[in-house]
Amino acid sequence: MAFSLNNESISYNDQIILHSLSFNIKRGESVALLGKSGSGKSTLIKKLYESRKEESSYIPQELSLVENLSVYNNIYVAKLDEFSTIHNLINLVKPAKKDVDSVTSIIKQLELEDKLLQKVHDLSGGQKQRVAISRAIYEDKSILLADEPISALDEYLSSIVTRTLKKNFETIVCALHNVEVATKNFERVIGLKNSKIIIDKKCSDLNADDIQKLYYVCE
Amino acid sequence: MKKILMNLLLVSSLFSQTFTFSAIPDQDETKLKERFSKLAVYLSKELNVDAKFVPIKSYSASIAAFRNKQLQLAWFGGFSGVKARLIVPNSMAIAQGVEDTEFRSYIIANVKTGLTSSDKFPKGLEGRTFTFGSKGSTSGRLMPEFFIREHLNKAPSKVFSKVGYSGNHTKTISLVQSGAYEVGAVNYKVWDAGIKAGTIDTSKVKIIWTTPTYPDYQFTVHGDLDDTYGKGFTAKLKATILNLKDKAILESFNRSGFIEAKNSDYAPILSVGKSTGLID
Amino acid sequence: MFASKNFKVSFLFVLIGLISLYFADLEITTIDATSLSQDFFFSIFSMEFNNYSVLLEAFLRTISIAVLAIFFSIIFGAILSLFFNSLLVRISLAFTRSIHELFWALIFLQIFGLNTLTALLAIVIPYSATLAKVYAEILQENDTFTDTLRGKDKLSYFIYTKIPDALPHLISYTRYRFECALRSTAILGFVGITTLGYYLSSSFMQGLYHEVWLILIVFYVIVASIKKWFNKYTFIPLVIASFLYLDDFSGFNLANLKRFFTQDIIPYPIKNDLGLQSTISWFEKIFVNEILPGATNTLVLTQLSLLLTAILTLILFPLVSSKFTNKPTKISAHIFLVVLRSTPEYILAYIFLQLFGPSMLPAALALMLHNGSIISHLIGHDTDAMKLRIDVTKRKTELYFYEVLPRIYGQFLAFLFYRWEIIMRESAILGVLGITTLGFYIDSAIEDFRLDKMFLLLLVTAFLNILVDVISKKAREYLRATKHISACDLRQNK
Repeated sequence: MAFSLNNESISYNDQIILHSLSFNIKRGESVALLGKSGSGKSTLIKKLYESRKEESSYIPQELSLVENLSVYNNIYVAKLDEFSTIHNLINLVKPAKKDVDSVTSIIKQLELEDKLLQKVHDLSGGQKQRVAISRAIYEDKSILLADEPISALDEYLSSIVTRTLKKNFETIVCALHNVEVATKNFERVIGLKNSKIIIDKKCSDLNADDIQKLYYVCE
Repeated sequence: MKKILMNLLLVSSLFSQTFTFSAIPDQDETKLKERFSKLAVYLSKELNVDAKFVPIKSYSASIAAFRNKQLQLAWFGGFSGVKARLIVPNSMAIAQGVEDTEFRSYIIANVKTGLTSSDKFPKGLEGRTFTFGSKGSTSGRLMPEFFIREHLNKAPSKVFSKVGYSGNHTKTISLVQSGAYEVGAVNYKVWDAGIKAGTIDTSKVKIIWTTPTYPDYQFTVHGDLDDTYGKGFTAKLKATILNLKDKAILESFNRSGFIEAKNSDYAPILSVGKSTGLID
Repeated sequence: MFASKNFKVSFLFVLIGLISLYFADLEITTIDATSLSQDFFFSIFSMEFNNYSVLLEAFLRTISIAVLAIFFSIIFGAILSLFFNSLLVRISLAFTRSIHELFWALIFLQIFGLNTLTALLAIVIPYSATLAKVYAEILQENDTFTDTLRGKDKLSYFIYTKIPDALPHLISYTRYRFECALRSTAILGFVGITTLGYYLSSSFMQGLYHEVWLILIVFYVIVASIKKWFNKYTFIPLVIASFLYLDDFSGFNLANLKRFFTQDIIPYPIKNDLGLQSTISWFEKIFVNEILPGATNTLVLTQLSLLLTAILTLILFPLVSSKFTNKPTKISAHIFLVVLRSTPEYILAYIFLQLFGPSMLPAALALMLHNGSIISHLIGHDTDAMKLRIDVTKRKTELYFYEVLPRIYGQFLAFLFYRWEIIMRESAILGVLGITTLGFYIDSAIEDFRLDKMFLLLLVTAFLNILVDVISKKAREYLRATKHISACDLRQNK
């Protein structure tokens, strides 16, 4: 089991925003968390991350990129704790070939390879999202917790990105607000509305009624 | 860097021979520089030391420099000398100008005020704007303030509508002449020299009163000069100043010669300082 | 609009400003101000200096001291900014910052004498504190990396996630501070250190206005060209050159330092064991005769100058905004503002004092012109970037009141509140020129060699300053106008 919540309430700034949640997420599952902004999905994603910090990567909605650093260095940040401080300092001046190669192999999968040495500052919103995703992949963990990581990507890139994520992570929980993207690319959807779960199903089991409900959730 | 290296290389003997002196900035800087550069040459020659004049911007800074032993000799006013000798143990007055035993201040006024000169303390000062020289000056501040208090029984700030401190005597004259202030107090020597040099426009500013006399300027030294410069140095320095006959130097000082001075000569200044509350 | 927070705060400050106006002494006392002014202004056509090598030396000295001062301030400021979370650090920095560099110079003059060491300390101490505060703010403002992702290797994370985005701001603020350091160093000449101010005040004292103009204009050129000669390539060479040029840093004296803290600043009755009664009466006398009038006048001058600054800004900023003026007007207005801004308030006040005689008028004018030109410049810049509808009114008055002013008003107040503390610090120091604010009494105390009194008055000044700083911060929070407060540094200045 990757996550198991039993009748838990989740609060933010001392205010309860999700009441008595119960669900299980098994290892190997890819789950889309649907709901409109303010429904509590960001808080939930963050809480899940904090409960499994050692095994998971996290992509916050605001991406947490350093604008004046290159794409390469922004991705490298994921492993700052793994290398020595000296290695990190040298990397700023002259990166090791091994590190560059492994980063390049990741951004190739996301069609960003020509941006390796560009400053993040100069990238578009979609490109920035892919840099944040690359950073998560580079961290090399088994679980991904991502908050709206593909909101700025078109359909083509969304499917490439989700495919890449599935290849690199065993378990994925992803907050989304687009019903099509969710049902097309994920195995299971959880819909949050008015601080409750109102739908939780495998995508293959969804009927017309459920789809209707999901649109209602994301309104 | 150069100097740091020099410090390391040369023994302090070379340094101890530098003899630094200064003066309260009571007049225009150019005048002071002219006066004291001549004196520096004279002292260097007579005393066989490297006498160096350093210009200092304020009365208090010159006292501080003397206190911190950055100066060995200082040409102080009566008031600044008393203050310096109070805080520097064993320091002493050694020489004063012939005229300094009977020094005076002039109260001057812009002609447009209509104030007239008189032998008695002038009337009609109340409500005027008034400027002293420096806050720490004897002839430009302490004594005029003392006589104002004595005659009017009030602090200057209560007598005048506005009290300013021009900074030095030259400036006081120019401020009263221009009308920036209506009335002012000034060192009589500086005024007389200005009249002689033709730098004062007497159609715009004039003397309305001359104060009674009091002791003023003097040379003050540290008590331990002999330790640094050799036994008998202080006596030699004193004699050198008293024997000063060079016309050009005396003229730049506006003095006819120098005579002996001792700390007790300035007891009247000390008591005036105490009575006006300017000295604790 | 009339019930808005902006309106309430503005109304309150206008009211306080008007009350200050009533109490302020603004009389022009010079009988013949015009001839002096004419003398002064026409001397610009006969600029010269009697000894150019002395002038050159003064300029080199001023620049070298400023360079070294900023160099040390950057080091101390950067280190201290890392500890800015500590309340103790914040309080001590607020204190050192609240004392003007001229006051610091007056203190060190008593201890170490008139030398380079005194000049450096006088600038490095308050500047390190300011840099520490602003560096800490910039690091915080530009931190886009969420704490959730931050790992254990503190140093690496600091360098990778905090520095890169903050660096451009840190650099441009430091450059602005260097400009300030140049001004401050020049001003130090007024107390006797042989920088520009020394010759400026000497020439002024002697009525040699043609020399005054020469010094001022060369100074403007140096300030205006800072970007050309003070940048990342020249910085280290400049530091080394300055170090070699200044040459002599001796003068440190531990005994004098000890004497200052253990004797000089101890209240006279306590030092002489005169008992509690006389200690109280010592304090009472100073409080009634100096602290009370000094603090009142400082506040009156501050509030009046703040109001005048606000008014001037509202008039001036359209002149430097492309929304209101054509290019030639904008450029000439810009030059005018740069000149005003580059002239230290202290020198402006000094000039006006000579022209108008002693009252608060010269000080208020100086503070208004200096600060007004700075804020106008910033606001003008902001309005340039403002996007308005294509069909917006063509009439300038309507444009001003309906479109532009409402949009920039919050920012305008924020800038004013930021300058408030600075105006207060300047108000106090202008007393040294003879206006009876706290600086006047501090200067008198030094002149009387009552360093105990000087120290007490300095504490009062610092306290007032910190008070204004705190109120200003609260006001900005109340107005929620905190954006880019530390950016009130002409960061965008081209």
